[in-house]
Amino acid sequence: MQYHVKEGAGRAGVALSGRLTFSDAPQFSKVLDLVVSRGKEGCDIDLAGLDFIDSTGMSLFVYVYDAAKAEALDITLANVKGTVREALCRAGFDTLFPLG
Amino acid sequence: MILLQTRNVDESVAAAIAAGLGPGDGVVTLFDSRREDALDSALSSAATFVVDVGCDPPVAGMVTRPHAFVLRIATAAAAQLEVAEAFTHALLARLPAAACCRGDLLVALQEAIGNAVMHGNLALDGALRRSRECLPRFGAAMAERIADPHYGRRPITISAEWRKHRLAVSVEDVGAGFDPAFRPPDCRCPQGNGIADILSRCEEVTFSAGGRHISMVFLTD
Repeated sequence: MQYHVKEGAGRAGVALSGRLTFSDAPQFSKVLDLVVSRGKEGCDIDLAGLDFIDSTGMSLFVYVYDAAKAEALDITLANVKGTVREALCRAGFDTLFPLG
Repeated sequence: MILLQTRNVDESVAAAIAAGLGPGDGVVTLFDSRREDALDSALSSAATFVVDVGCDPPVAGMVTRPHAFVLRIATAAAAQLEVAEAFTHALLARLPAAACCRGDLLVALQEAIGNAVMHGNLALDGALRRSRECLPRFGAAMAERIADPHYGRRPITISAEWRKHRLAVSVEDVGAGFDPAFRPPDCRCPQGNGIADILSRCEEVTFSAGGRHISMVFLTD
């Protein structure tokens, strides 16, 4: 998985791309801190470039959800498509986040 | 008779492994997962048994059978390469009738390999994934153990065996095992959904060897 901060006018964004799987678990803490630090102003996690996700990858969004709830952050999942959307819906993530 | 092939493996290493091969029939391909593209190249061979020489031990307990395809790979490689994707691709080349279950096979295999790596051979404490505060420790422990040969060279064996319309794919690690009946109480907790996903995508799922071996059955065309 690769990630980068999207700068520009409007809401902040963090884009994830590639495959988000158990192999990426050592990076979760950094990605989570990045998202949470931008969440106070509103942050979109852009999944347009994400091709595949497994259950460990999805757990990253559970941490995001818990942080957003605890700290009243405004975080959304954007551009959720294809097999990634199917996997997230199948696991019930559409009840945690509006999937844009 | 066993035919041995190698892919960029040192001769002395190959000779030592060849001496450990038991009787049987089939084609065994040895590869070194530290070399770029070695996994895909080895899987594209005509082998029935593909072995990463980075495993310790590499061929213990190896059994070759007709209508079977086996990959044994070191944990460090399984944690870094796209093994589920590569194995599924190679399996469909051998068994095109399995194309109908490709999506379920790929996801179930990915989950089983992830469990074998993290909770099996790397013996990571799942409790460290239950809170954000512990997450950096989990990530650090995972990176450390992948780099530690004691854990990183442990083998993961992925097998596929088929007969008529039934395909059984199994994943086996050499870790401490686990209780397959255990389910975390909260389905939204950051771990535990992988097995539920496997169960929902397979015709049958069985655990054996104290949770170190999972067999997943799919129906093919």
